[in-house]
Amino acid sequence: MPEPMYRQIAEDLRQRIESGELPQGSQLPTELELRDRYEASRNTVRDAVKWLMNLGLVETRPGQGTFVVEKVDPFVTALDLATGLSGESEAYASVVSALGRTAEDSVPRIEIQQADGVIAAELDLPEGSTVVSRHQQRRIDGTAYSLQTTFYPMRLVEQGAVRLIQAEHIRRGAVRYLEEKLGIKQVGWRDRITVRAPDANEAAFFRLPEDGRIPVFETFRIGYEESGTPLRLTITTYPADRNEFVMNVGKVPAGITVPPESSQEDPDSRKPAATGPDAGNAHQGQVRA
Amino acid sequence: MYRQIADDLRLKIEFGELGSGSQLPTELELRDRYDASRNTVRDAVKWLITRGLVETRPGQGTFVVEKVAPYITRLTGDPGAGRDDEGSVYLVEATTTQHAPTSTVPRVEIQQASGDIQYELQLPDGSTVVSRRQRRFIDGTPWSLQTSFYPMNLVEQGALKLIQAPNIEEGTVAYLGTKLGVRQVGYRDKITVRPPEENETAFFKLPDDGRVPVFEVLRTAYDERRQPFRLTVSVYPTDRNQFAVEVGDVPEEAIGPGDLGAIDVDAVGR
Repeated sequence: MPEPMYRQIAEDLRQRIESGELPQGSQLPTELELRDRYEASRNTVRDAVKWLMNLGLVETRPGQGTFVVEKVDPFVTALDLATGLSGESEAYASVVSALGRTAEDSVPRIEIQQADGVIAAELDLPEGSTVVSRHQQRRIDGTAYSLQTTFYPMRLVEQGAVRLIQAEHIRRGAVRYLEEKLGIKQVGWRDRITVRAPDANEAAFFRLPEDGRIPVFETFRIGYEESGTPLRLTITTYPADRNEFVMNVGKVPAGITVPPESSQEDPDSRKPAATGPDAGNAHQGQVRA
Repeated sequence: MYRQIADDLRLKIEFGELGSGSQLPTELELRDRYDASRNTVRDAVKWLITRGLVETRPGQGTFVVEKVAPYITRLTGDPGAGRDDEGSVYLVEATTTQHAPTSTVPRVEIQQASGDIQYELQLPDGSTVVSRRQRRFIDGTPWSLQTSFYPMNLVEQGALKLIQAPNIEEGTVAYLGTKLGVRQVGYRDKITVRPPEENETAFFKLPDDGRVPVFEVLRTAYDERRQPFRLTVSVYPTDRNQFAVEVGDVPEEAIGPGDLGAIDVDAVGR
């Protein structure tokens, strides 16, 4: 199957970018140089460069030329984290600081709304039930890394967990708070990981290109009580250009994403002690009501 | 402005208000509803077309694209080895129908380890690895491309089936266990998303402009000495795949190996 000429050129340039021969931030050879090198027409060379732009590998700076895109330092999220730690958010903060980086979470924005189809179904509530949502923007070293929203059934507030509707961080995490306040314990969770194009809010917050070519991960985490009833739903979006996920099962050597306190050695310690989508977990823009 | 309209329509599509296969309101209706100019409405619809959410049928109008129910792959399994559970990936269908995946006969290659392969398998420079590559289908739909890499020293120690093309019927983990006493005690998955490469675009029949990205899952398996002995790289298009992870006690649901086709990736000639 013969590849069109422009794709062959794009592939060659891509390999040179990936091998570092054309380093991040460097200028691509000019159109003329590329025509020379590949013995190709102007249109062919343009198509090749356009293709690389689609792939997010190069970008045009008006009046300056075309440059190899500089990658943001990726952050690795451990999906099985929270072992031996008080909750997801504390675990997250400890991993970020162990890497010598600084995590900043915005003060949660609280909304009270009627659960629509998706949220009602995930939380196992009748459609139209009231839920509390806590939205939060998360940055690392000043760069936007994720948007998070956690939904809780209103009954938890009615039973006395009033801090869920206060617009401030819940120290040590909401899940631990629920356990202490109501004796409701989260015993496990299920994640679903999907990928989609960013919406306008996300594109603005993460400063993604307008055309939506950089997708976002969207994860749905449902935490369960001992009875098997869903306790909360956390929806998080992560731009795919700066986020990766890792998950450990069984005995694996310690990796960089594993905080010192958390023992990956003993699979039994993997039970989610208390996993707090703490302080809110926000996800601005994910207004699904 | 057009992005706001596009996002509003996207949400309506995602939440089923505009059902799969249904016709989008006409341009005139959209202009009316959003109080927008013709060009703005057209840009919004064009954006939805680029994202693969709607399609234009000549002479008929614009319709919401009918989505295939996604394949959900469970990444958490039993860390202890064994053909039926350990290190296996469970495929869970949204429907109750059982869909059995099929795989091509592995293509076996011997190559020098570099990059991710060398790093994950912790091999010195110039080490040789065996790779076993398969294309996988569900109901005839291309589902994933999967390549497993093994250090050549496993072959040198006697695991000769690794360099033979037929599927290893008992699964490679079980085979390595009985043949060499190598026991898998855990694995680590790394999940990233990237644009598809050309061969992937062709195999998965993805749009030519690279707008549908692919998941790349790196699974490194460890033996009792915590040494990596296998790296499996799987590529899944994001338009038809999702992943599930379970930690702790979660109720049985659609996502559970019990009632559904459990795919032991190790059993399929890796």
